Amino acid sequence: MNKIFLGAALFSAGGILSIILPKKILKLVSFLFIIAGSFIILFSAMNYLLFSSVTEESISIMFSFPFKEVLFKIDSLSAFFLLILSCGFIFNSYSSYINSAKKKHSSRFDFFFLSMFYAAMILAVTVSHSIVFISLWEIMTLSSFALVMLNHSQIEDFPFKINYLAAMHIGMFILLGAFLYISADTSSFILSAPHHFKGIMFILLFCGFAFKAEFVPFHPWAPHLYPEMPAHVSAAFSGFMMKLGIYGIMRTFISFGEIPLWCGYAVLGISLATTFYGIIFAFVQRDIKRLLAYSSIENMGIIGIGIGSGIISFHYGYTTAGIFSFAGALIHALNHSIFKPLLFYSAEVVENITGTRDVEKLGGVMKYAPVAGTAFLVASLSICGIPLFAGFAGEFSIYIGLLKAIVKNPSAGNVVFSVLAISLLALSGAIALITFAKAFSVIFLGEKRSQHKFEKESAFSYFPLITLSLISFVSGIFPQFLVKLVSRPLLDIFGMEFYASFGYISQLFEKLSFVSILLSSAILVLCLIRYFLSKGRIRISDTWGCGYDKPSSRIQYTGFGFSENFSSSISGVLQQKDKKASASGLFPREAFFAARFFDIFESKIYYPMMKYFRHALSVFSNIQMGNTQIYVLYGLFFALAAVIWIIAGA
Amino acid sequence: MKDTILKYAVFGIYIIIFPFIYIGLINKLKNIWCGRKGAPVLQPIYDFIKLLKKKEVISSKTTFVFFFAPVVSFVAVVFAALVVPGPYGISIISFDGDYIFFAYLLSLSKFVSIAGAMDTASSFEGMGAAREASFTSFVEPAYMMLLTTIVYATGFLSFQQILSVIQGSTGWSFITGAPIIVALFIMLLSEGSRVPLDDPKTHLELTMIHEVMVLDNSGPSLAIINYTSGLKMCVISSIIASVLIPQETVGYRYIILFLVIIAGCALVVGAIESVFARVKMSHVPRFVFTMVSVAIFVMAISFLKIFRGVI
Repeated sequence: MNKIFLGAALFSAGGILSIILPKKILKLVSFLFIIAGSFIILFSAMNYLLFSSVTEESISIMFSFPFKEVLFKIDSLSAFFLLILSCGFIFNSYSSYINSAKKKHSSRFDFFFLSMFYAAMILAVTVSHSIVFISLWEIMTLSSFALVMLNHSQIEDFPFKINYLAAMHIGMFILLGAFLYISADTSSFILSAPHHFKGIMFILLFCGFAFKAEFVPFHPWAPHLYPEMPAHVSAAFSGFMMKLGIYGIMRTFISFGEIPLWCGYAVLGISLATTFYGIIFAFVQRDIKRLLAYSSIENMGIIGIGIGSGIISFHYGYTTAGIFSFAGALIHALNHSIFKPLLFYSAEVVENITGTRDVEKLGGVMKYAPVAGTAFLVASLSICGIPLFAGFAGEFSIYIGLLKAIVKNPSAGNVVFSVLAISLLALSGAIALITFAKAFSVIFLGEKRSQHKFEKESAFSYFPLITLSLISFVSGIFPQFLVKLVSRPLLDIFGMEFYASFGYISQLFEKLSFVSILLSSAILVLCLIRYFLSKGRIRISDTWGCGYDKPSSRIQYTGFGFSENFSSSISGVLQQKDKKASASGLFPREAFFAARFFDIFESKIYYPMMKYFRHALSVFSNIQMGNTQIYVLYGLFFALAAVIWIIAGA
Repeated sequence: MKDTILKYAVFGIYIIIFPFIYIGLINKLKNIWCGRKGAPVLQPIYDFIKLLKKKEVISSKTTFVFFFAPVVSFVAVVFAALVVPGPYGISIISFDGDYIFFAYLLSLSKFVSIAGAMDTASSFEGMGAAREASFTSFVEPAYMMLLTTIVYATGFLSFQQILSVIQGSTGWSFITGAPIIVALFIMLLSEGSRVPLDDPKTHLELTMIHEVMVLDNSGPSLAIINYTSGLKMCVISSIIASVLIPQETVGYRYIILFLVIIAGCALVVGAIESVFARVKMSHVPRFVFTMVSVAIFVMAISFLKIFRGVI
């Protein structure tokens, strides 16, 4: 635990130094501090998960009035999330360093808020005092908001950023309400099951955390915000901050112990909706980062499916199924924080060298940025859950969890729900496949579709791209190592008697690993054979043009053209608005076509609701006169009312 | 030991030779049906060898993705073949949930073939890739739903165990057998890009799906692609064969019956191609959705089996 504090202290020190130091060295110094802190936390989390035999390390600090005794502790779940966070911070701070080194006018507060953000995340995972947790949660929100605002460029996007702040605070107040009720009920600030309204409290906490984790009805802040942020901030949001939402949900479940069955079904239902909704909207986006934002929503849904089905299985007492589901959720959380930042970093490279994020203007970037292209390919294959790469293990484990639940518990309701979950998961997987096949091939392959001048990628961006690609490949090949990492948290949570289930899981994953090694070596050998055999037997020519010998890059399929076939078959869910002027007359003028897709929750629920609120709340504007004397009078009225209340009470 | 070697040998011969014979049989039947003599059944092998010997023309616009895509797709389908019970009734690789692994291997093959097609910067190939992507994306969930309902009824999680239960002569397997085969056959037609979803013999780019994706492949890479597509159909036919063969059959009888059924599948594909026109492009998803209704039917029958013990 001391080491975690040391790490967090190093983050904060780096942050504070970045304000004091002269501008030339501040970036390097605070970067080094962050790296040192991350490595310390990474090693102690690894050590805790793999080698240590201690069940819990804790430090308690006495505060005066509001908090009383505050307990910081790491148990295995905290250690697992510390691992996710600290491992990601290394690449994230590097990317931030590179990004700020490139910009001429970067603010010195960039690193300050980044360090605060990191430190708050690290401490939020370890604290077990609900009010301190909320405070750290708030520091996290504010520092991330500051990061967003520091990179603020266009005034039109300002409402979306305020939107983020508002959404986070709605979530925070829901959490605060639930925490206060629970602490009043149990008379302790340590989260545990309340005596009454257990299910409702669980759902409230779930909703509060879902604002951070972007589950579906709570998501609309994300897709607008991500595109405008630099890659390291969006990667930190998607890779780490969203995982804290998952951490919160897991922590709530563990603290509550037994929760009503309907909660499990509610979590599963919301997650299924999230998965499907996220991916179909990712499919039609033309902005790379917005696509990635929606795809993050989908991945949170997948993790949620694992958690939901785990809760259901545990309620029925099917431990193997439950362990598989939870293991799948945790493994997918870990993998997602590897490949999603990787996608963001490579998208950033694309944006830097081409100057646009619009998929329809890109194409052929692979020739300018081979490393970023390959990294994007690896990350795409990972996110589609292709065996050999990170991403398969988690989904596979969730599938097995659902299947085991079906086999063990053949009651009609469970089976229908599980079969539905599996089919929706598979459907989302299939759409994810074509989404990323489209994104990768439209951005990186073919020829460029616009007159933009593309530059070559710089070697500075290689480090996170190459390292993270290797990590996703290795964790795809050796999934049993991931099982080892999650075994400690799950055994600590559910008790040592499930050790046998873990034997079965690791056996299964060892077999999978064996097959993956065979598969990857077969691919490698055959590719080498193809490479060497075809040497000197290749003639380079143009693409076949069906009789036309001067093809234009404009005839290539665009992203929209690619997705049009499929999106028309799910047009019921997608809100497509077309704008077009078709060519007419003997001498046709300009013709154009534009299609936009609207988020249903935003356009059908939130906007009308906001309109209504604005209307209803305008009543209060009568109170606000803008006259100081009147406000003082209000204060007097309030004081008078308070005095009367106290006297009446006495 | 001897048995194992024999098993691998039979399997090896099967996956090397049969994809060619499969395509040869389809073509032969189609030719006879319309009154031609037709090429010999082994013609695809000669074509394969001829293509391997040729030089290759590669577009200057492509990257390594185009160059390696056929090989990666090929390896993925070969591994999918290893998971499915082969002519010996036993899968080479078998573990719990291997049918999920199978689906994701087919996905890998699809991903790289789409990327390979898009790499050529050709509008035709983009069109083919877009069609392939949208039409086959319903197959995977339908397949998962079907297999999951079968898992529910049988209680096993690996291909080999599932199929050995289906082969048993219970009422459940008799009732559900035929619909399952129909569903798998739809999957065979769509994964293999055959009529009524796609017409491999069409000669107009605008109407092609799979064929248009490989317009720029030539020589060895075209040979590999052709073989892979034959192998894919063979693999799915193997599932059908394993469903059909009764449990009691063992030894060489199993092998013979298995190969006969595979050949039968090829002939049915050929017959369908001879008598049916392909469906309208926009109707293809509906056709694929038949698999979902079969899955729901199987689920209903399985409820009867598990709760009432009727069958």
